[in-house]
Amino acid sequence: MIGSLSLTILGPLALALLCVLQPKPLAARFFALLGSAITLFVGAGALIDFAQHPGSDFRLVESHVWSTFFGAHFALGVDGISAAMLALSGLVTLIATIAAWDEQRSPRAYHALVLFLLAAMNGVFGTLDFLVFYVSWEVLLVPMLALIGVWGGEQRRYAALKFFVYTLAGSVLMLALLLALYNATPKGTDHTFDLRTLAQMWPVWRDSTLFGWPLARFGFFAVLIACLVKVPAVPVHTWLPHAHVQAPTAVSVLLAGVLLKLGVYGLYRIAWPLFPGEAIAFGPMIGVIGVIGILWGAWVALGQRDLKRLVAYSSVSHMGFCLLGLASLTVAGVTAGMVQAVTHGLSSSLLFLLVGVIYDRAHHRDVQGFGGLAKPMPRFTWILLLGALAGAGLPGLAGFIGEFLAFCGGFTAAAPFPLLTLFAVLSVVLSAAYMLWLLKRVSYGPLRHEEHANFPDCTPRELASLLPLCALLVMVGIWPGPLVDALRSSCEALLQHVQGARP
Amino acid sequence: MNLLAWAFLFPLPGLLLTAFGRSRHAGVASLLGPIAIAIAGLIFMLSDHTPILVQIDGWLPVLPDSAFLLRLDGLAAVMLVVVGGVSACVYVYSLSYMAGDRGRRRFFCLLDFFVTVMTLLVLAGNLVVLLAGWAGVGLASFLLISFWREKSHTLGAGLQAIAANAIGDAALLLAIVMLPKGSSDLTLLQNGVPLVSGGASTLATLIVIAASAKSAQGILYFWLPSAMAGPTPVSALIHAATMVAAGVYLLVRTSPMLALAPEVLHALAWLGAITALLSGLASLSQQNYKRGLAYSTCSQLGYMFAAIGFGAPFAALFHLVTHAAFKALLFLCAGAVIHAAHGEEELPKLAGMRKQLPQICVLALIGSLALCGLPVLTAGAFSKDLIIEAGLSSSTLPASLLVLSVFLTGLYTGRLYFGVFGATTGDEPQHDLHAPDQLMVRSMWPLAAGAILLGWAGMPLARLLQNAPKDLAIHAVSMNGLLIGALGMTGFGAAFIWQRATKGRARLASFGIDWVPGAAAASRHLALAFAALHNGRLGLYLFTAVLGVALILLMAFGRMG
Repeated sequence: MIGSLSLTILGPLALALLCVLQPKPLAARFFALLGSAITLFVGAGALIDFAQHPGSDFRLVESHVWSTFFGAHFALGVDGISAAMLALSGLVTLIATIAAWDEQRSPRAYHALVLFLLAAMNGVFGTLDFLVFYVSWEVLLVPMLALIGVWGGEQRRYAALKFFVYTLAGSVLMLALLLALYNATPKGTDHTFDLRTLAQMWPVWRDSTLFGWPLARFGFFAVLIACLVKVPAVPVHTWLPHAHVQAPTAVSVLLAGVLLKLGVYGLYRIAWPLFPGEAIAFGPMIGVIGVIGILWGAWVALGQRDLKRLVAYSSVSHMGFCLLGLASLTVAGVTAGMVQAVTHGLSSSLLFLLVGVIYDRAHHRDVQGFGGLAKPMPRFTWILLLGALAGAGLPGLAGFIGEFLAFCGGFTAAAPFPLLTLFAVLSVVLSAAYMLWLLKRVSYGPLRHEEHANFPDCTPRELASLLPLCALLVMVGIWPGPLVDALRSSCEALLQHVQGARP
Repeated sequence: MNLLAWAFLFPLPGLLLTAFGRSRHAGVASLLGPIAIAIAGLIFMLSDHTPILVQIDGWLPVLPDSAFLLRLDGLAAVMLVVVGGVSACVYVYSLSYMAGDRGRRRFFCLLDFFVTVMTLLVLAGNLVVLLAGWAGVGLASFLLISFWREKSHTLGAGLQAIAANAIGDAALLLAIVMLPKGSSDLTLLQNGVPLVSGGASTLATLIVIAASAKSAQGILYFWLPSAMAGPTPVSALIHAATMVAAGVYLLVRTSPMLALAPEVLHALAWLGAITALLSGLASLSQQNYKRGLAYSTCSQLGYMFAAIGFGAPFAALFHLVTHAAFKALLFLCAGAVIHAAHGEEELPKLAGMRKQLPQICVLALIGSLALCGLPVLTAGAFSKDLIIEAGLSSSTLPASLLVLSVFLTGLYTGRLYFGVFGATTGDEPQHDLHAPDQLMVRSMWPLAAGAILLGWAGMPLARLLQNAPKDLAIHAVSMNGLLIGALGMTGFGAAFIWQRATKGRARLASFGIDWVPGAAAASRHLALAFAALHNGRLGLYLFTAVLGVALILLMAFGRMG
């Protein structure tokens, strides 16, 4: 009996196989479209359900025995947080597929890999079982490695390898943790990897040890490192600019739009529920890491010349808000982390698509080499303005909501969070500066190069990928209520669970 | 009646018609918005003055006060009439001013956007909604300053505005975040929130910083003169009458809360008075017509800030209203002159316009006299008198600076007026003038009428506002008022003689309060100094490393011994 969540994993896998097995590139494109549409349909449906009937329960739950020996189940289910992530992964993949519609280099393999990636991402977001989570988390690296390493730019091998080594090294400890948890299960209880049960067993992890260390502390850091590399947090962010610069546009979109959110999601789903004591103890440290990321990313973005590097560093800055919000352990903050993850997924996808639009025309991304594009490309300029402002957190656009909630949460939390928030507010000035400076150097001023005058404005296909994101950014910005409602109950439940571990 | 609180949506039909319509007269449809907004304000004024509240719950569910709140009360209604009225005049003016511009459609769309967000700012019922309008007007200001995108200096000016505005946004954001739970409602702020001890002064300071960024006060003044790079109707609407007054509006709104922090109010009085004085002096040194007027705007906004510092928010609001009329009028006149002279903005080259533009000359005279404060006959006298009287009765020292500025106001106004419209000496280049059409001139008449008559609106205005003092006396003729007016007129007369003596080239040599380039130079020197520390010479590195270790050892031994 296949439920709708299994469909979002098995469907893309089957479609990926079909892509390779049949000869037509066009069919492969439609398969990719279909696979992401299924995910979007299921994810958005669940998200709307959570917005209308808020609750912290898991819905669409299904469970298939995987291995009785390990006690592993192919258990699936979503709460508000994972529903939002699932919807995001479907939407972003859909848009990335439209953006890569004209991919000429072995399109069948390309779309098959994207579908494979989608299945793995959905596996991470949809599962309730730690083993399935871990397998999806690692399997996901394979298609991403191939997409960057084969379809990337000139230094694609180096960038792909760097990405692979960083993320793999980050998550080896997670495997050790999996085994340690298995061994630490007290005698007489069934072995299980069900995340809900594991979370309820947190006192067991707190009291058992591993090589003299408290198991909980080892586990917390194992998951934390794996996730911080993905987020990415300073100082383990250095793989990101390389990967983005070398990746083709659509892969950059997937990377910024969904892959970075895996790190945040891992913290929400595993590190905080399983090891609440450590989450409380090390919260301030995570907050500091978040704020360093916020300011460092914004500061470095100011100095970038390559457009993709600029947007990549702005991602580092924006993802810092997720850490700050989650670590603050307030309702506003914890919700802010997820809201920011969703809105950043929308705005960074839009910005990477826009960089792709001009890269397709000018074949370079040096910000100094543009100027005056407003004249030949007015539609592009308006959309770039919207994307830049959403990134800069202008009230009325989606980017503001997450930042604002994170500020509110941080300021009402215990010390040292108010102080950290004070520093984080500086990023309001910095992000306005780098985003509008970007706009100025690309679109305003006199035309730098004669041949740029003949650039065609955005084509209908490009608009088809850009406009849905614009619409969502405006909608969420003007009326964030439903999104926040869908996320809130799950975040409150998480917070309550963590606070329960306070001595 | 609830519809009136949604007035910020009124420009949208016009915006859509202008953006997607195919009419040759792009922009005419946009005119609907400002007129509707002004009418909405007037309807409220004629009704029984019960505040209209709109509350939609569940906007941002996590926050304790998560509703989307709109509030139309007396203060908001006054602002609606000001914003709607001035922008209607500016729209009509722009129909003629921008007639030949290729970006005319975009220009009107941006103006519509500005009016929308400005009205949202005015109608906001809680601080979060206000912040949306607050950031929105900053954005509109950036887009309109940089309207002529191909000119590179307009971009620098736009970015300066955004930079100053972002500082203000951050300060306001912090203020909102700092507020005790559930109190970002403006009504609560209007009644003075019961704050945790010590919180009031921090909160008040943040609000003052936010307001100074928006209203170009203190060290955050620098963006306003640069903002003159935008089209002149924009300077009139945004950078003289409405957006820069938003800071004053915020302070008037929150004045009961500010009153809980008397030391901040005192600092505010000084901030306003010093800005009024220094920017008056700076105006005297300007070669550019519009920049001269821009410094005058800074100076007049300084009066309003000082008024709030004196604990007289009503006086600040009154001056805001009269200033909106006469300063917009002056800018529109400047625009007509510049338009006629084919974009020339330098003062000596604009001389001798009296004969060629007689109608503009009269209109500019009305605006100038209102700015100087000619008693009884002009509106500026009433409101300025009210501020100075409030100051003289509370804090004398800043108030005396303001009195000094009255003379300066007369002087710089006269210098600009006689520099352009004074008698020619005969050696100016003859202009091949591009005379303004009747539409342009007529669009200024309502503003001129306002500059003369609005002074008499003081008492009805006071009745509209909840917090206005009940025993308010707005004198048409008082001893102090006459003296202050005489002082202003003396300055105006002195300027006439000064311009005569210097053959229309009167100018204060140079008045260097431009701290931005100074700060830039300082940071460059600092960077160079630090760059010397990492110049890549291994020898130096080793030397300093050894030196450092030696120092640490020395200190360690010193402590032991």
